Amino acid sequence: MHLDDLYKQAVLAHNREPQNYYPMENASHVALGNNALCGDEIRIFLDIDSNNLINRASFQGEACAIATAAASIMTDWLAGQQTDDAQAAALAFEQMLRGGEVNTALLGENALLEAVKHFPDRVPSAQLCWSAMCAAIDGVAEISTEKPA
Amino acid sequence: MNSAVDVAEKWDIDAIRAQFPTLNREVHGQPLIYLDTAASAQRPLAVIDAITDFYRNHNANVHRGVHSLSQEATELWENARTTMRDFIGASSCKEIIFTRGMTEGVNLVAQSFIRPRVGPGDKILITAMEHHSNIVPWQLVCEQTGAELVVAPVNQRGEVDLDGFSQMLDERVKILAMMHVSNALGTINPVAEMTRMAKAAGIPVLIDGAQASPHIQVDVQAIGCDFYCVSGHKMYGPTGIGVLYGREQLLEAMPPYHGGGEMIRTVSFEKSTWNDLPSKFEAGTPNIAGGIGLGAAATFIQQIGVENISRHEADLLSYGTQRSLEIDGLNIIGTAADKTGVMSFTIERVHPHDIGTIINHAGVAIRTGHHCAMPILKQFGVAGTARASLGMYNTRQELDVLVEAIVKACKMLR
Ligand SMILES: Cc1ncc(COP(=O)(O)O)c(C=O)c1O
Repeated sequence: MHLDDLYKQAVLAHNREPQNYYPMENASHVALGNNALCGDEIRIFLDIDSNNLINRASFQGEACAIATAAASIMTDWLAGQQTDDAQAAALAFEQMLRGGEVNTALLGENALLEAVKHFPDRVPSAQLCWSAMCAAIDGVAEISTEKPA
Repeated sequence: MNSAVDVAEKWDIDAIRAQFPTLNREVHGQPLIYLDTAASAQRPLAVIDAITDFYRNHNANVHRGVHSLSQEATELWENARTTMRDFIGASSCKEIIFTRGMTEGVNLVAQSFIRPRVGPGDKILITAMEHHSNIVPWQLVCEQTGAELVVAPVNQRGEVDLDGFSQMLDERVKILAMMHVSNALGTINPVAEMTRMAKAAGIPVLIDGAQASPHIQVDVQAIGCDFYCVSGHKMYGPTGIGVLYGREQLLEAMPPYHGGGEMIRTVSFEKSTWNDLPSKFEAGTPNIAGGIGLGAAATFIQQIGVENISRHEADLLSYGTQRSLEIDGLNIIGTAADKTGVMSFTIERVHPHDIGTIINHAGVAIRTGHHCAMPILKQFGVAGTARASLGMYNTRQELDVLVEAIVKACKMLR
């Protein structure tokens, strides 16, 4: 497996200039994801309306390139999704990283991170923002993801 | 082996490297450059052969049989103990307890020595740079007894602040537990001086020597400590084996840690009596091959000469440090005046984890993360570092490759 598959140009670009990187004021849902093994932390902010529609998503935190790019891509994708679609995508994303069969169409640009499955020690990095997003929807304030998925 | 003594005299690095089979490996099509010795060293043929020889030719339990194999196994095992006694400068084999590693040594002392001696109002003193294995066992004792864990300060170079330390030495401190050499920073602590200060205040001293024994001379009597723990796999020996040195008088007075076979003299349902030292602390069938392998590792280090190893690694450290400072935005964590070959660093706008993954593809093995020393990294304001750690087999050329690989990684990520 080539390094360039993990660190695709598009992924690196998201790391260099992360999208939606700000603390959202009046977010309806917030959760912190941390990976105690490498000390990475990502906080996810969601603006969810009464019809369970995610209007906006943002993030902040200190994390590696894979975790940062994953969060940038995910928050871009989340805007306009229903919460149950977001949760379904989280499952599909996890499946993808475990090397399972998934309909990557479900995942949109998030499928850029598929090659992470070949780097098992980096799976928790890619997973961090997704775990935090699900925790936020579930009303859980903090979640830890140091175990490989 | 190519006489190790010859190797040492000329410091023939090729001959030393030839003793370590894993160094011939490739990783991602590149020659392996192993810079993670602080996590676990590679093993020389002397160790691999000693283990194989035991299993092929002498395998039996120790101290149990009248038959020849058991006697041979016992002799090899006890010879290894003698080797370890000499290696760390103890005076008696009764003071050499085989353990599963450094971690078990600390837990043994925490439970058998300290737990019965402390209560609310008493203190256990460690330093701010300790490995988790020299923090958590004491926290357990504190929970069990109501004693308090107190922490001597470390300065911004990563050295114990001796003034702050000396002010903490009072009659409520029941033990000082400190590391000889820091795995995260490389700092060599002035353990003899600190031990003297603690002893003057009547405080027993335990030293975590996991990162010292492979790199610098250890002499427990010169240091004057009461307990000293070493770890096999850090000193080119097997995993799952280590040694706890304890002063005989203290060990005699301590209750056993684990109960079982071998540690007893007589057993009845009413009451059992304990075996003599060191068996009292070695319940059950030990890691026999591991102990024999550890003895072989100590002999190997002695043959190469620990002072030669120190000199070689010090040269590499100063070369590597100087070269790494050429890297834009690199910040070394741990700049003590007295250091072993540990280069722990962060790089602006580049995460250690990404560096680790990327340079692995150039064959370079380093460790990234908190190195089981979260508190000291927190003091330095970082959650993790990238760490290149040196062993006797590393070379300047390898450090050149490391620096080039990091520069490339930075280009890619920035
Ligand atoms: C300074 C230090 N102390 C203790 C340990 C733990 O040693 P062991 O693996 O033998 O329990 C390590 C290794 O991780 C270490 O670097």
